[in-house]
Amino acid sequence: MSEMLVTKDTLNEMMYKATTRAACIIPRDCRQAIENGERREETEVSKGPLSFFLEACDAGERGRTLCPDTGWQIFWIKMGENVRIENGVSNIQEAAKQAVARATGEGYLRPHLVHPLTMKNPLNNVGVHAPAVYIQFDPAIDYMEIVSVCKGGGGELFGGVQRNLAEADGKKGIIKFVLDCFMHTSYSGKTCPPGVIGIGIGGTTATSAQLALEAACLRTIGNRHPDKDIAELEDELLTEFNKLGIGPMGMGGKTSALDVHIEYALTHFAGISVSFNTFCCVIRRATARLDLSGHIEYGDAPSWNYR
Amino acid sequence: MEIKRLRIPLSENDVRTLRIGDLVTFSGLLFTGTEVFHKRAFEQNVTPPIDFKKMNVMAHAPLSIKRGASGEWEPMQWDKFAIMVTAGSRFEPYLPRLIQQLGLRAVVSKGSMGEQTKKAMAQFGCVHLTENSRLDKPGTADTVKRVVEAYGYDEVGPFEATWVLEIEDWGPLVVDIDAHGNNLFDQIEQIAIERLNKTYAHFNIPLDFRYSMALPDSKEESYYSR
Repeated sequence: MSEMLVTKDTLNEMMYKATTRAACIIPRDCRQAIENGERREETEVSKGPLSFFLEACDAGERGRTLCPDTGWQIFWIKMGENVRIENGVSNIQEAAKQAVARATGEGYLRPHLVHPLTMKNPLNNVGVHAPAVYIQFDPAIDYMEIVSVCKGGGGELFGGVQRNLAEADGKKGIIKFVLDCFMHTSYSGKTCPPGVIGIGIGGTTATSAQLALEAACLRTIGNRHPDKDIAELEDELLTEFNKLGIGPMGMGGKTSALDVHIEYALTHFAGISVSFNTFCCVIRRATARLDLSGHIEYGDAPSWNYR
Repeated sequence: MEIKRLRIPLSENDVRTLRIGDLVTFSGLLFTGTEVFHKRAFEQNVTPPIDFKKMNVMAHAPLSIKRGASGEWEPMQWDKFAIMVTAGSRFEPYLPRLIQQLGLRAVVSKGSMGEQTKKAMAQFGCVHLTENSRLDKPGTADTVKRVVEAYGYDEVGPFEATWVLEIEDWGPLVVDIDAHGNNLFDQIEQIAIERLNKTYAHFNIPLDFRYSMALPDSKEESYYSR
């Protein structure tokens, strides 16, 4: 496989453009799901949030941020073994910080990330573990893909819950936890429903939380897990969530979730860590893929299949 | 559905006639408050120099507005000023007392408030409204006519400052807690809880299911409780 050198400038450009695109341009799968939801809703109050949301998507096309709350910036970077980074791989971290600071300065991101105890605000969303950068190497690919996500506060703060179960609680325990989380977190529209629910099952607490986050952020609406049992559970939970009547922004209605994505990891035979995560209805993700020819393709569907 | 167009200041009669589910717009001067405003008003009885009798509507809104190089106010994320409400439930420890202390007639946030706020609203004549959309039509919003004042901007920054805004027809907002002890979201939740019991049955989860390992702060584990 021929080597590919990614220059500092290319890296910076990919990260910055993916981030501004994430903040402004709604992914096609999300827009489609929202449009379907709007058609399905019957009352003015349940249609309202979805109609306004579609207006915001149009404004986004003109370079306006989809939602004021641009949340936490997260980058997932996937690259083949052939990818070399100018001045070394650790430059990815620095490029991410620069991209976020620039996008914040230009008004694409709200400067609201603060020190958790002192509330001190650097006003550029950059600091300790901010932005988050996750890097994966995949020997099967010969390109580099950067996924930029703005993870809004509502979905993350109100829609993130974790619990460790005993193996004896089994599938019933897992499903009960997920159902209760959904009820609790979507009450009064705290998580900005209808969103995408990510569920992580198994692994350490960190693994299960990460899987739930990735399930919510990286898989497109309609995508199903390759494991048939898991895929069936995804369908079943989506149907059941939408029967509850919570509706857009919790105002009542038929569209309470856009999709359910589940990821699992092998777990200890004594217990199961279960994590619940929510991406609010304003799904903000964008991709930048650099191929061997040096061409950068910007899009919204991560090629996330590394399990 | 008819939209009730109200002008600030609101009278007690204005808010007593509202019922959950009503659609409302506001015009006039309102102020915003987030963490710093609530904490200082609650703990130190210190508030910006606002005549709360004339300005009795508060929005829980961290505004994306900055002072430009020329000293003029500029929107940070869009080309127009917009009000963006934030989750109100995090102000539940403060709001019940502030309703009485400041004589508030309406509070607007994303989502809803808790039991104590509901009680205070019924007692003192105040309503809570939620934005039907979290998004105040970014980029197209034209409800904010003018930024009148930004108390504390230099000290605590734009998101914690208390902004006074002149607004025209902001809404439609939905009344989710009225001044008669009703909460729209609790009614929706009651229906959802009944349906949830059927969902448990669908998955063969007994209503008295108990987890083997309790959480540190949990007492009741048998079924959904908020």
